[in-house]
Amino acid sequence: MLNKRGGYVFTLEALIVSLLFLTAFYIVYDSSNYNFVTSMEMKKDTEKYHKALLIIDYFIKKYQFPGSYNEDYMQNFANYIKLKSFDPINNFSNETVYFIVQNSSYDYYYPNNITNLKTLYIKNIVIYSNTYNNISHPNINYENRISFKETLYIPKITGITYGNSVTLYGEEGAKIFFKFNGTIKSINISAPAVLSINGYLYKVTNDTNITPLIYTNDINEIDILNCSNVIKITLTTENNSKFYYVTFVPRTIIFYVRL
Amino acid sequence: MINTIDLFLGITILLVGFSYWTITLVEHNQNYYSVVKEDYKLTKAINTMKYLAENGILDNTVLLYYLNKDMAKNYLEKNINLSNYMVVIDGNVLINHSYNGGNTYVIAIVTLNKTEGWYVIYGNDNLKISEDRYLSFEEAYNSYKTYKTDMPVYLVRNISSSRVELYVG
Repeated sequence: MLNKRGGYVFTLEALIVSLLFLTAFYIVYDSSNYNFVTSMEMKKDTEKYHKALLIIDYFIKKYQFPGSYNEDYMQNFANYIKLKSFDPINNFSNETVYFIVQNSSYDYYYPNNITNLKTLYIKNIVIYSNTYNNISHPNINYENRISFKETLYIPKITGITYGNSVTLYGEEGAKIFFKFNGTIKSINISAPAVLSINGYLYKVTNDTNITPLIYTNDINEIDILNCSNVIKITLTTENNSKFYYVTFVPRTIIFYVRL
Repeated sequence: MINTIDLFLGITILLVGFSYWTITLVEHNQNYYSVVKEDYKLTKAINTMKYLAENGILDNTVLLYYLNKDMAKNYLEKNINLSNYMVVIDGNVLINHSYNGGNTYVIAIVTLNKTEGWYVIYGNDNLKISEDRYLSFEEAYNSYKTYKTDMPVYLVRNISSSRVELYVG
């Protein structure tokens, strides 16, 4: 150390020492702070995704089938159907979550119009119904949202028909539920298919009538296990009857959450 | 005045201490992140299996599987929406959808009769029940036309369980 006369602070040595100290401190503090803050940010992002998942699960549970239908349909038919599903026939005006249903190639094989039913074009899906009550799909800005995909059953055709016959449509993988109050005369399947009717397997090779076990005044279920494109199932009864029906189809839905 | 050697010692200790700390922090975060990711994968797998079981899709798949494997594959594929998965029924792979060997898997044991269907009671002098099983009355009847007695019946042979595994990677 040099011999000094006074005013230590302004010697060159002291300056260099303090600069060194500052540099060391700067390097150490900056690097540690950067790592700490980056870790916190990553953790916050992970929690955001976790939260989004929970929100979407809640949303799906809230808007299951049955959605918004008229009294008759709900009380006499829809409330008895237990199926994990998602129902676009609902009022979505005040929600933070929204969804898009992906198109499927099977959609082209359904007819443009089904007798007695109204064809609804909801965003990019086509739904046929004459029992809906209150549908509202707001326009949503899809930016800055987290999205998740799910595959769920969607009620593509819902309706009530009066008469002595009704035509039900379905694709491979669809589930058709129906209920009527007359005596069944015949059931005709339009194309080759493998069906499970109320739990029993039926294989139909061409345009035929079959005589499966069907319940009157109770819910019947037809699962289409294999067919090509879309098939028609025509039910005919002896006298006039009231038919309640719904066709569920499996579709991939993308849910968007804004956080 | 601080000795330079003390200064350097102090800085070294500080540096070493801080670096240990930041490495721990980063490690902890990586672990937290991967735990959440695995948790999400497992939750998604469990929810998918629950959905398939509750909606009767697994039952239909196993029923179809023992009659026509391709039909079963097409039917089940429509209802699963995961990017890498594999479905194994009773030890045989049914669907392998870009499965890359992760460790998560969910088992569902489906109890149902996998041998129901149309069998034929046939014979000339002695009546026997066919071993073969058919999907429809017509097919069953046409296969045993040469016998004097040819009677297709819908039979439920026994109740046994099938094991369906879903591997998510």
